Amino acid sequence: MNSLTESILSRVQTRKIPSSSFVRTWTLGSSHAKIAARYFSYAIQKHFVEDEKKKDLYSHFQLQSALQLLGTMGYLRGAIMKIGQLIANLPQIMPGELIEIFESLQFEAPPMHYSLIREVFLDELGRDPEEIFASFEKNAFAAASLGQVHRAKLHNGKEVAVKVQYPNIAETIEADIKILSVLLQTMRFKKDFQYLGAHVQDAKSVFLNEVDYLSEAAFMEKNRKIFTDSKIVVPRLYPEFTTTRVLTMEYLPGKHLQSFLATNPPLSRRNHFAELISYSFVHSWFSLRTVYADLHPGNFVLMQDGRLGFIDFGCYRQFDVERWKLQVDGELAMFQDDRDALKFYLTRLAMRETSADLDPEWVDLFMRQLRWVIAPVLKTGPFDFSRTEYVKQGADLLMESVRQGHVRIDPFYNWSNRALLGHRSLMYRLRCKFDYSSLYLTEMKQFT
Amino acid sequence: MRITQEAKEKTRKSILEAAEILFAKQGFEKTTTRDISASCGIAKGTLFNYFKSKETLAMTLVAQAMESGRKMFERRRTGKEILVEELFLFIASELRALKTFRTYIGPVLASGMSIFSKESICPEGEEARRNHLKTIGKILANHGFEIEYNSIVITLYWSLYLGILAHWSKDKTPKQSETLALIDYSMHTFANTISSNTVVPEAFICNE
Ligand SMILES: Nc1ncnc2c1ncn2[C@@H]1O[C@H](COP(=O)(O)OP(=O)(O)OP(=O)(O)O)[C@@H](O)[C@H]1O
Repeated sequence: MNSLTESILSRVQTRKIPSSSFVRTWTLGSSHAKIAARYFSYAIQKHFVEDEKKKDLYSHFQLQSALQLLGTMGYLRGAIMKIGQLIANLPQIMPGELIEIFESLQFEAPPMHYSLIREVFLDELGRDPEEIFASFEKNAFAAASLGQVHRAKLHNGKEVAVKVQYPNIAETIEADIKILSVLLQTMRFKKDFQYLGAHVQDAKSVFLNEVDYLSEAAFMEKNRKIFTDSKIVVPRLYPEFTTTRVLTMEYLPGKHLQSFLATNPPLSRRNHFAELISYSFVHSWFSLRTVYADLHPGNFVLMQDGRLGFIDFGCYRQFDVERWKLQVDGELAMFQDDRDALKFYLTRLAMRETSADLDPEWVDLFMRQLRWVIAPVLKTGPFDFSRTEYVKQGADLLMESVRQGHVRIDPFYNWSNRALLGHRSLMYRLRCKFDYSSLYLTEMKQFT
Repeated sequence: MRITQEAKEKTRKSILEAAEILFAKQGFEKTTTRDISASCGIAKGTLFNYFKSKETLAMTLVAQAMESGRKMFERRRTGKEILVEELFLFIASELRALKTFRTYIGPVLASGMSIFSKESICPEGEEARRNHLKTIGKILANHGFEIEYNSIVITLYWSLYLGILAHWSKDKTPKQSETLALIDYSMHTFANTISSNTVVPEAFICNE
């Protein structure tokens, strides 16, 4: 454990929680965000601190304090929380306590009181929640990164989950990203700087898309279609009570991963849900050419009857036709170990003219990462996801690539990489062992 | 005598209505008292019997809207709100009622509700301020804070409130959502300051 991690840990452990619950929700929220911000700046720092140590250190401090400031603004911390969630998916890098804290970000109710909810409702739907619904719980039951979720009942008796967005969040994300871009300017001496800008812009477009609940709703409907006749349940949408900032959907009862695991479920049960989670991931990958950039435990509800609730369709990235073809060809090349085709794939991914321009150090690392990713597919029969070495290897590779700081790469890769790590980490936590290869290849055959 | 009084009231009302429409249509700055008197068919001099200036006229409209915002607040209030929520509800309801005046409330308040002196030159503005602060006093009392009208706490509140109004009048975000966030922060700041973090209000959102 390095000193930064240690100091954060000690801060977390010694931090007194104020007794007033009002103050508590308020400060807890921001301290979480601060820690997330710290980690974020840490990751970025690692990306850039190499040659010009002094300069870098200066920008690091600047960056860190700026991010901390962003984190203090109560519920306007959406963008930072996203980063925290990303980090939470890497159990080998983060000490266990911190993962728990990050995870609680998804469950902790943020400070949006009912008067504020009412105003958002008046602006969005023209009426108070209590006029629209037969009943509406004033206290949120779950926090979302950009809002909070309330339970309610429709007049026809149906139970719904109503996601309400914080006011002004889109503007805040835009402003955050602007600040970030300005701060990154201090690192412009770094080679391939222009590609970094592309990554930031790309992240911005994905996050801003997430701000529009209508687009999330549309995508949720699409997913509902592709998962009919499966054990995966996507909530039904209630469009009459849905706007850009309010999303009303069927409530799915069940447990999240953490509480499921707390019941000490047997291997068969863990495998069952691991397969369903994998299916949701792989099936949408192939049938919708989509990657969920935000694959974390909060997005799955493990239901008593054995079905898997799949929620949250805000944060995704869809391949266009051309990029998808490259992706599929690349995957085939990997599985068939076709060196020439692989070279072509890497060249395109790194936005180079010819494979001779590729950075050999990067190619070496990338190939090792690829091998790590496809290991469960290449293994015929059950793959043991519970092996610590496997996850650790993935995390080490990630750290290595962070250290290498290679940014000249198609931004799409960020999302698929993030999703893959998210998936593997979920599998690891479920300590599952099943035939992932058949699942993957069957889907691949069917859709390509 | 009674009839004259009634007629007077009627004229006053029609001036206010005409002014509201014209302000909304052509803007506060561009609207002249001549336009207003012409629009309701009275002599310009007559208008001045009712309202000293265009600013007073606008301030009267604003004060009326604030009054209806207060009523809206009373209606919507459940009595279960914690301090921050109740303050928030009051200001948000008032702004809702003031919506049509948003773009020109700045100059109106600057002249009608003098910001720099405690006593306003415009009686309508002074009354609007008093009424607003009276409600604030009541809300504070509901939560156990008995506070004098002239106390520094009220001055603190008033500065935050003016800041909110100023921001709101220039808020370019859709549905002025930034102002909603600002009201919330401001009222949290205010409640935190006056309670010095010592009171333990009931949790408004708590997962346990
Ligand atoms: N339909 C639903 N049924 C049951 N619980 C739900 C439902 N929708 C949301 N939730 C709860 O609310 C939490 C947050 O919702 P959601 O994941 O949609 O929000 P989000 O804004 O996308 O946040 P995040 O980025 O953290 O995933 C979920 O983890 C879950 O606990």
